[in-house]
Amino acid sequence: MKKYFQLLFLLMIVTVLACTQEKPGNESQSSETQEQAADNTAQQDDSKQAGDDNKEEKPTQSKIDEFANTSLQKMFDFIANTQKLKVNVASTFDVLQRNGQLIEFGGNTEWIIRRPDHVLIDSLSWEGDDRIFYFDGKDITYYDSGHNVYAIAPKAGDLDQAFDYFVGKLNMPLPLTELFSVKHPFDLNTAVSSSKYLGEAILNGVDCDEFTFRFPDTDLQIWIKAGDQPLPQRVVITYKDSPGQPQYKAQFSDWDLSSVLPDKLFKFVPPKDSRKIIFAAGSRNTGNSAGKSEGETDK
Amino acid sequence: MINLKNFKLISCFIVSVLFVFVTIDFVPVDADARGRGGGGRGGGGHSAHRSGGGGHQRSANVNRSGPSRSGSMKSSRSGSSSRSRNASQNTNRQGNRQGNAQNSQGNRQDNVQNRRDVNPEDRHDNLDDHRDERWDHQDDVRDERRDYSEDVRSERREYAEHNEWNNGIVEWNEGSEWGALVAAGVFVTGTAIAVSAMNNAPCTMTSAVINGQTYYQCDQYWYQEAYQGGEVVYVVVNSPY
Repeated sequence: MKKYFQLLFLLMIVTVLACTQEKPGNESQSSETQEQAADNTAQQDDSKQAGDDNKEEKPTQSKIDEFANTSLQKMFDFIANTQKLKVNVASTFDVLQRNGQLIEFGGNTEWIIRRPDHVLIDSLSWEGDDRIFYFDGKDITYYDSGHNVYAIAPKAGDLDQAFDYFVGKLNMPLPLTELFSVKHPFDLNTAVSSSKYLGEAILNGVDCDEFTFRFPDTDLQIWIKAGDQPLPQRVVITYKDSPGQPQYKAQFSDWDLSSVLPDKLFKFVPPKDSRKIIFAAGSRNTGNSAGKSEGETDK
Repeated sequence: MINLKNFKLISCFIVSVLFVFVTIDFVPVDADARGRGGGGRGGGGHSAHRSGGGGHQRSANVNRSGPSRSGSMKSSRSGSSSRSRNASQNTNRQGNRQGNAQNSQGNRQDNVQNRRDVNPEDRHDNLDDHRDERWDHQDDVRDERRDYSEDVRSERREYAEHNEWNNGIVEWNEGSEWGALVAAGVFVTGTAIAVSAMNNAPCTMTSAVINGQTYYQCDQYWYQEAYQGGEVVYVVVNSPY
């Protein structure tokens, strides 16, 4: 049996060598393939050149598509003027690791908004952690199922004020708040250095218009539903100035602008054995100013 | 008529196939061969690795935080800078867009009709039930995953020093010793320490509930659990007594 294997192995080596020697001949037979490869190479060179051109693009050479800007503006306005809505968001985000690899994380989030001052944002991460943001016009409550903890920060006001406080002051991540805020994230007339209308598309059966925008720090690709309800169907945000150029992607589904949204939806009931914790607003230095606790309500 | 080159190629192929079959049947596949994804193992070169690992293992050093986590159209590092633009460059693009749109209109309408046939609009009827279904689903998922999450939580570090969401969290490297943190003087009020680091602390942690807040004591230091940058950490606090 052993001899059989040795013989077979030798035969294998010989035949592999023979095949290797045949390769130049084969290539000469397939001139078409060669031409095709040359074309591909040329195309790659072209695209590389195009990429270089993009890199060298200066603000003065940028182009604005007024239709794109207007469409984005209409989308923001429409959402801001929608008094109640529900939508599901499947999102992912890249995180650059120290070894240079981009790793993707994600989850599914349900947004429920009743303007001006009620919102529930329920995010279930792929890892299984359910994190829920509640706001009822008086308090922000944030629950983390993984640790079974929650924190409450008193904050009177509307949604925009709650989002600003949570993200800006408490330094907590809450993706897409800009999309659902009444105020726009920035003045499109000055913040957009380039915009394009890429054409029509269909996402999950929804007729969309596809646009790209270049903002000072990010690039945005967005698909907006065509028609009289210009709701986003998908967004891709590229953090072009960040190492690795990570992306945040969100796919929207089941937009619902008509359901009744009772108060109880926005009321947090502490789950069994959950612990109340605090918000520690971070700062860069691990010194005295860090960890300033906020949002304690037991007074 | 079969020429010599074709004959050699065919024989090469046959012998190679024979060799692979015989090797798989009788000889353990070496790592290199498996790495090349040679057939016969049902594809998925990594499946063996995954299934062979037993329980789920997550790296302790995976960083889950970064600028893209914010999902914001403004980079977290950005200020309020903006660029000016030249509005007079827009007219040509508008014309091109309308032309393209008209050209593709017909195709899209066909596609739309086809897809609508596939996706009936009664989907909207389910919206009212959606939330209940989702909660049920989440309860199931939560139960299934909580054990797993708790297992891995102590192993993974969910923070990094180079992003702004996790400011103030003391870095905890594999192999670091608690004494090094003490020597570095990090145990000042307000400093946040990762849960994984606290789990490795060489002290017996005790807890006390005071005014509805849970405090933890480890040696002479007091801590509270807190959210920082979206994660749960321990923060050094003053003694509640």
